[in-house]
Amino acid sequence: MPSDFYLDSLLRDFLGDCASLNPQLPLCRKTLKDLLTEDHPHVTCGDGKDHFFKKGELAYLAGVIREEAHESLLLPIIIEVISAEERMIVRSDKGIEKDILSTVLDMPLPLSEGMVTLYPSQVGEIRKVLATTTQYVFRP
Amino acid sequence: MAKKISIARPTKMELIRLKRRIRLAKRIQKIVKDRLSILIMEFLQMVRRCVVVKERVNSEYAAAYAALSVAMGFHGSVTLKKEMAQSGPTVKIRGGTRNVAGVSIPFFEGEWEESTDRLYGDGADSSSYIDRTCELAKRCLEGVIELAELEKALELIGMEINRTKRINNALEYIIIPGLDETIKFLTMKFEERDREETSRLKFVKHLIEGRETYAF
Repeated sequence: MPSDFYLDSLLRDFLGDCASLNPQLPLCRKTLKDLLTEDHPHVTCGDGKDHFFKKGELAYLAGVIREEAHESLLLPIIIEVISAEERMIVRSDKGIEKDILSTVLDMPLPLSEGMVTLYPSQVGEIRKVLATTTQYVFRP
Repeated sequence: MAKKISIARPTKMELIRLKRRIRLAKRIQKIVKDRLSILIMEFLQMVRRCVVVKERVNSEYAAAYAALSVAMGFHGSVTLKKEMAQSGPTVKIRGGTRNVAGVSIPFFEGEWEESTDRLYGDGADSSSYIDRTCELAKRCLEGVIELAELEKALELIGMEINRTKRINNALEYIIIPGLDETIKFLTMKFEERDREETSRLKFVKHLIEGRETYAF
């Protein structure tokens, strides 16, 4: 099934509550495998604008993870900023996102309840390397 | 002293509505504050990167012009122009937009054709001086592409930071205190009403007791 028409569980959670607060949230995320084959890899955001990915970053991600994981990794990787709890998390059900972030930061990251908690300095480092393949989402 | 929000009538329904509004306003203000801190972090990162790229581009341009002078001195300007005229550009620039915390910023990525290492062709009069000049010119172009993206992004994120700061300040210093003040005013008004009701009932009770005693 083409990933263009698939609404993953993370977006389904968000679209109900916080869509108006996050117009930059993509309508539908795509897998790394699909993006690597596109000439102009991009996703469409909630405000109708396109968010393009750098091919260099996609190639970097393809090099970091196994080839079997290319179909499971959905991009962009969402960094959730939870205002009430004053923390930032990345959800990683299968641990693929955790492996990528560990490689970028060059340090092991704990995974608890399918979530990786990040500190602002770590997010800064991640955003330097994965500027287009990560996206912020603000939750109350 | 914060300014009270104007309300239609001082009723308890209005108080409930205001309490809901202030809860929502506080939640949104926290989100806006977080967004502002993220935007500032991205802005500062881009500024640092811009400084590094600018220094690199300046030094690359200096080296490229020096190499060009050497090549021109060795080959002469006519031969050099003939070499440069021999082939067209071999770089494609992919342009689009990307989103950073709700701000759409431009995105450029240069794609070099693999078959050619140099910007200009393999003429019979070519030499290592021209190769070197071409290599440095390619690096300059890569730096210019990166710089174009960064400078526009800085401008757009800067504007968004100003806008978000104003929204945050409006929420923090005008709307939330105004709602708070209005809630306090309404609460005091209801308490006063309750006290008036209590004292009125005591007075009526006293009157009734007096009449009963008199009748008795």
